[in-house]
Amino acid sequence: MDIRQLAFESIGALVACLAFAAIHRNNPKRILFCGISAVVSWITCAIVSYITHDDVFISCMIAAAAGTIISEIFARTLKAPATIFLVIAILPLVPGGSLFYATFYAVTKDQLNARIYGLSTALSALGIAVGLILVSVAFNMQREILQRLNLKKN
Amino acid sequence: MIFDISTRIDPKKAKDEQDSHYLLALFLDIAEEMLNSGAETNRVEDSLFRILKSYGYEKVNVFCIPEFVSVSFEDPNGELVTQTRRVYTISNNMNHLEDLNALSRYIVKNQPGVTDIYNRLENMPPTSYSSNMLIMALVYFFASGGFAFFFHGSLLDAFVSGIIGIVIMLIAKFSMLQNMNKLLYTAVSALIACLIAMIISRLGYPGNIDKVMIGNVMLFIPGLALTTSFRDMLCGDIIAGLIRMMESLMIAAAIAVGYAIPIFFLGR
Repeated sequence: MDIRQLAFESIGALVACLAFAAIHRNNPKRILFCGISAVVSWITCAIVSYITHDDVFISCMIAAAAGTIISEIFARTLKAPATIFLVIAILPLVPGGSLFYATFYAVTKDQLNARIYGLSTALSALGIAVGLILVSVAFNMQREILQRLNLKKN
Repeated sequence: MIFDISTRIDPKKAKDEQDSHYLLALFLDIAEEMLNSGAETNRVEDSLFRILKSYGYEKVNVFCIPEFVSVSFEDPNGELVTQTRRVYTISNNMNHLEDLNALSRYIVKNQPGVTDIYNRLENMPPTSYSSNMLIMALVYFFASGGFAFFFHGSLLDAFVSGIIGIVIMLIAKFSMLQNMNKLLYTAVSALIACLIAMIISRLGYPGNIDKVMIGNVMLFIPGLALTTSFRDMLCGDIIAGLIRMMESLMIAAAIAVGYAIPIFFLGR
């Protein structure tokens, strides 16, 4: 794995996600945590994609799961809604690049490349969704079980 | 579209501090502003339900989709109360969302009267930096440039992308279009951003112009809407999730249209 390239990408993701947290008008105290969650999900994505030889679906899924876990942890420790961190955490995974290339090649009449990039866009969007849902369901169920236990006690 | 959303109901006309009609109007104000700031419908339904239960109301019904809230319950005097609210604008304001969340927790804990809630809603502090043009220009510069660098662009690409990002921010700030039709607004600003990038490329730009464009595309991508739509659907609000998802897919199509036209006519 190219450590130098990963470091550059992480710096880019950190800067962009800090700025995006400010575009979403976050509280200045939360912005740094948004950036951290984004970097964690990106590094996870890079490592998994290296292990699985560029499998877009699996790497996006596991990275989205990692991003969801860390944003739920931040939400609990900082007493803030999880959405705040979650939106920024999945931002580096959002297939903006491949979506752009898919339209670019479709318009310039390069069918083969358009298909490759279009498929990769759909796969990574699906991967993000699946990873998000798996972890969110687990956290929701844990919350519900705790609430029911509390009700029984009372 | 005709709508009247800027006025808040005056609490001085309420019969007493615990007048359920006026309390519900204020709760719906909270719900409306939460949706305006980009909350999931699940969160809004949940907080409304908790608030109403904490006041001892019976037969509480809450229904919420991204553009509509409806609440119905029976108060302790046996009066049946129903109110609805149509929500028109959806934007991102996480700081405000957090404040509203704290306010709804406070209400559940203390059951305050009409005037207290009204004052707390009116005196909610705005996000300190969001009205400062210079800071917002810097933020758009770094958001766009950061993503250009993230997708393996050079520092020069990142800089050019950041400059176009500032142009996009100026369009967002000064165009009337944003409040009229979101799709048209997205398509037009994507078109302008792409056109600027194409012109720079034609003037003999040494770097990769596609990296510059990707940095700008990331400013439009409806990541927030897509995330919340999946979360909504997973929590069982299929209608709410579908509405948000269709909206974000339409915006993605608008971006594609905006970028396709200049590339099609000017070539690569």
